[in-house]
Formats: sequence, C-alpha cells, structure tokens
Amino acid sequence: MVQSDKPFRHIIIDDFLDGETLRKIVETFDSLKFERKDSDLFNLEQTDDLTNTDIQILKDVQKKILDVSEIKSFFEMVPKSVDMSGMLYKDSDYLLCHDDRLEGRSIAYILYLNTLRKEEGGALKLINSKDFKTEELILPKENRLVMFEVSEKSWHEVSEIINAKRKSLGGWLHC
Amino acid sequence: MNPFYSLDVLNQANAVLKKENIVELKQIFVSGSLSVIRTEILSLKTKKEYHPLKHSWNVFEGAELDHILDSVGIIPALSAGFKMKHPKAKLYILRDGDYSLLHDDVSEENGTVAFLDISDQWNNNWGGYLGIEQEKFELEPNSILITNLFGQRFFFKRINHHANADKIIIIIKSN
Repeated sequence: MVQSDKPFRHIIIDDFLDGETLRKIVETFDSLKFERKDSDLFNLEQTDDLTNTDIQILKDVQKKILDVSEIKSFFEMVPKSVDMSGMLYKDSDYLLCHDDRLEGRSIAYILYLNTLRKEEGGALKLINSKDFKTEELILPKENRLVMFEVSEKSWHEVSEIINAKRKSLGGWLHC
Repeated sequence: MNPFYSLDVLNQANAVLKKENIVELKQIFVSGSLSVIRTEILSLKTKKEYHPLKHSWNVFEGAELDHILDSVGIIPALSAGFKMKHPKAKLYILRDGDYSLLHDDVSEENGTVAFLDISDQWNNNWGGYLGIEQEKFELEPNSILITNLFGQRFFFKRINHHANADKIIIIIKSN
C-alpha cells in the first residue's frame, strides 16, 4: 500500500481483489462491448456507463471500491456513490493531461486488469501543476487499484501504448 | 508559389471560402521548391513551448518567417486573393508526443485563418490532424487550408510513436 500527498493525494493498493473475483472480472471485461473514442484529449476504447449494470460481479467490485477504508482514513471523505466504465487502450492510444474536475467527482479510481512493462506505456503519470514535471509514474499492474483526490492540482495523463493493450475499470467516487 | 494560383484562381477560391467557410488549395508549391522553402524555414530558431493542459510543440514567430512567406508568394496571395489584412505567420513543429488541446484558456479565433502544411511527408495514421471544435481536417503536405472562424478554437491531434517525420504547419492570420 502506498499513500502519498505528492503531487496530490493518492493511494496505490496492490492485490485488491481475491483471485476468483479477479478471474471473473477479467473474463467479464473481455466480454464487454467497447466503442472507440477520439478527441483532442484521448484515443481509447470505452464501454457504456456500467454504474447501473446488471452484471453481478461488476456490482460486487463497485461495492468493494466504496468500502475501501482509506477513503475515510486517508482522503477524509464519505463516499455516497461510485460510477464505472471499462477502458481499453490499444497500440498508440493515450490520455493527455487533464485534472478530471467535474461537478460531483471527489475521488478518481483505476483498477488495472493486466500488467504492462514500462516500455509498453500505459503508465499513469501524476504531474506537478507548478513545474509541469512528472512526480509519480504508476505502471499498470494486474489487480492494482489507484485512487486520487480530484482537485485543481490533480493533473494526470496516461502515456501512449506501444504495441500492447491496457485493460482497466475506472470512474469516480462521489462524496 | 505554384503559378497555377493566379489572382483569378485565388478569387474563385475566395468565393468558395465565402460560401463554404473553408477551402483547401493543394500543390501550393511546384515540385522541388517545397523542400528548398522548408529547409529555409527550418533554419529559423524555434523554441519549445510546453504546458501539459494546453500544448507541446516547437514554435517560431517573427519577421524572418513573414519575409520568407512574402518572398515565395504566400503572403501576397492571402492578401490579394483572400483579402487578409497584414497577414502574420507563426511556425509550429509537432514531433512524436506533441499535441495541442481545446483548453478553456486557449483563445477563440475570429476571422480568416490559413494553415499551410510544409511537412516532408505525412501518414494520417500518425495523428496530427487539425480539429476545429468537433470537425476533423487531415492536412496534406504542400497544401494550404483557409477557413473563416467564428469564435471557434482548434487543436492538433497528438503525434503518435509511429510518426517518422515532423508535422510542420504555418498558421497565418490577419494582424
């Protein structure tokens, strides 16, 4: 478990799900329908909003995310709800720097469903909003949960994928 | 500049611009002369501009660039054919990983804007397209796209790791 305030408040929890839940969630992820998104900010594939899904394993994972004790103990927030979608990055996909701020978003989260080597890209870069330097580089690792506080300082991006795929579930906690 | 683009042809293109708000002229320089012009322009000392939320590119702005474009007929063509007043140019070079974004702080544009592409070669799978709000324009090397903007903003799609050339764009606006 990593907890840090630099460059903004975030936590990294490895081995978040038990083995059986992880296996099921990866299997479910692979069966989801993705739509390609292309804008100034990103190139990636995304599912529809999975918040109100009928798929039980996704509901279970959403509950488990809401129950992360560090939301209260570290972020000092009380979650009311969580939303979720699936993100699939393929070769040359990326997400450029932004801060995630939008009404109701308190904490952003990413649950990685596969592991990438550094040279394959897909890393989450946490950027210092004052000097523009990458202060933390978080590699995608299967079963790793990352959470960070959404604020005017929460500048982050996902580095370009190089001949690989990056699978994750993500969204925001509303507190 | 290609002698095909006589004042008569430019006037016809301007009529298209007035009607459609956009016109593209191809083969703007005759065979061979583009590389000479590009070499001269690339001898200008550019500077890196990086703001994670806005852009990453190399730029040059100054009288030397305007003089080159004047001498090769671009500035006179925009003045006479498209009635642009005191056109001023800015050079943008985008390499692997460079981009610009439609950030709230990026100013909206009003009036006629010309995008002159002097890249050596380009493959649209490398990124680098011009986005004007939600519309996508794939600029070709040795072409100029002229458009009337009405409070719109534009961006250049991030260049991906497949690119083996630079996207070299000169943006010309009325001063």
